[in-house]
Amino acid sequence: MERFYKKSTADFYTLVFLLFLSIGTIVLDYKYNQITYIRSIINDLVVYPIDRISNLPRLFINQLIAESSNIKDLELELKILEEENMYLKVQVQELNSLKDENTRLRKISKASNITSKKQTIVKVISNTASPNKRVVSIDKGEKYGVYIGQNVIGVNGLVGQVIETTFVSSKVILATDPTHTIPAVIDRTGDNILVTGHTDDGKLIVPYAEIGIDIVVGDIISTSGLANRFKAKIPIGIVIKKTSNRDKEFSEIEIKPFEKIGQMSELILIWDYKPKDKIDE
Amino acid sequence: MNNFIIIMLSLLLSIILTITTFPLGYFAPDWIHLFLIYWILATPSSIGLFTVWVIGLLVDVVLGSTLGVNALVYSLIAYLIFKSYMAIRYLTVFQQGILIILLLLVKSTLILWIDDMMVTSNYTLSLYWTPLVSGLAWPLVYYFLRSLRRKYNVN
Repeated sequence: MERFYKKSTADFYTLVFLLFLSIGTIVLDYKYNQITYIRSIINDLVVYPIDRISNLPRLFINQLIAESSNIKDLELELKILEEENMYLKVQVQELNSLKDENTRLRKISKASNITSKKQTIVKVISNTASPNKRVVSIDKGEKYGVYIGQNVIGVNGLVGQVIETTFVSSKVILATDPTHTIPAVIDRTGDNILVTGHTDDGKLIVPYAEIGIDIVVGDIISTSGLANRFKAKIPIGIVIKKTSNRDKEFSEIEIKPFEKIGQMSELILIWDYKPKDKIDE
Repeated sequence: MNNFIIIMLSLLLSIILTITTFPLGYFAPDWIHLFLIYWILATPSSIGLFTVWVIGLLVDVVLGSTLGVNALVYSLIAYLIFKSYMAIRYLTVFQQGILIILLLLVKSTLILWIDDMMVTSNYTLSLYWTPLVSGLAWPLVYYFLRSLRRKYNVN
């Protein structure tokens, strides 16, 4: 019996030491964010390659599906896209003239609004990088200058923000995460509200809206730019439900996001806005 | 050395399984922990607490949790198994499965508790599906790794 006991490599004091070591890393990671570079190193060296390997079967299946889709469908799609492109080109011309006018007016009022055109299209590597949070991994990292707090959008509206960067990849928290809140504004009235994710995927709610708030189904919600976290005037979604229950303290408002957040394979990073409170978040 | 390579390769496989079953959410078995428990039960001399701790740290990075949470619970549960593997070995696979459900319940609760002390918690009761599904997946892991161990003669 003693032989077996000695064979076991588990020493009680080792355990105690490791427990304290874990508590140390937890505190360091949570309180001071000091050891994020350890996380980056492990991520780049071990997890990122594994992530890539584990995505190979899915990529293969996707490719098969893509190749087997009908040529006729593709031609039809091409036709629709061409029409849409023409329509959009006309709109862009209008917008350009409006933009010129806008900058001219802003120059007069001395409130310059810098709009850089730099955008980066990134690919989603893994759709749910974590089971507990609604987080996706993207294929660009510090190598391309991605920074924490960078706003992430889709072609229709807001998607989320970058929360973690490593050398070759980054993690983006989605706006639909239940712990994620966006300072927003109702476009019609200009009232400020807070928009939070919900445990049901693809739904946003306004948790603290007073009973008498002026909001109707069909109102468009966009970011307000308060708290310096998101750029102002990024469209978020449209109000689909409002229930004012007198028994409760707040109205229940549901918002349907413009983007199919969580099911996207390509995202857009915008570069013309940097959150200001990066240090004391 | 052969032992070490087989164990590490199987753990690599478990990480790949974990990443591919992310879309299942809480219904995905805890592959990495099941694989680790098997190796501790089968060959306690070839894996140490420090290795377990490092694997726990790796799991933290994979799952995106606070660095150290999984390292803590992994080493704690590994210690319990190290101390009682002789008894656990004599149970049938299904009894072991039930034991694993209980162990992982404790683990989930510990993680919940640590996360709740910080603000990051957004858990629901469905968190406890993972131990249950893992317990059901245990016989599968057991027989797979046992055949692997016998084939490559790991001990």
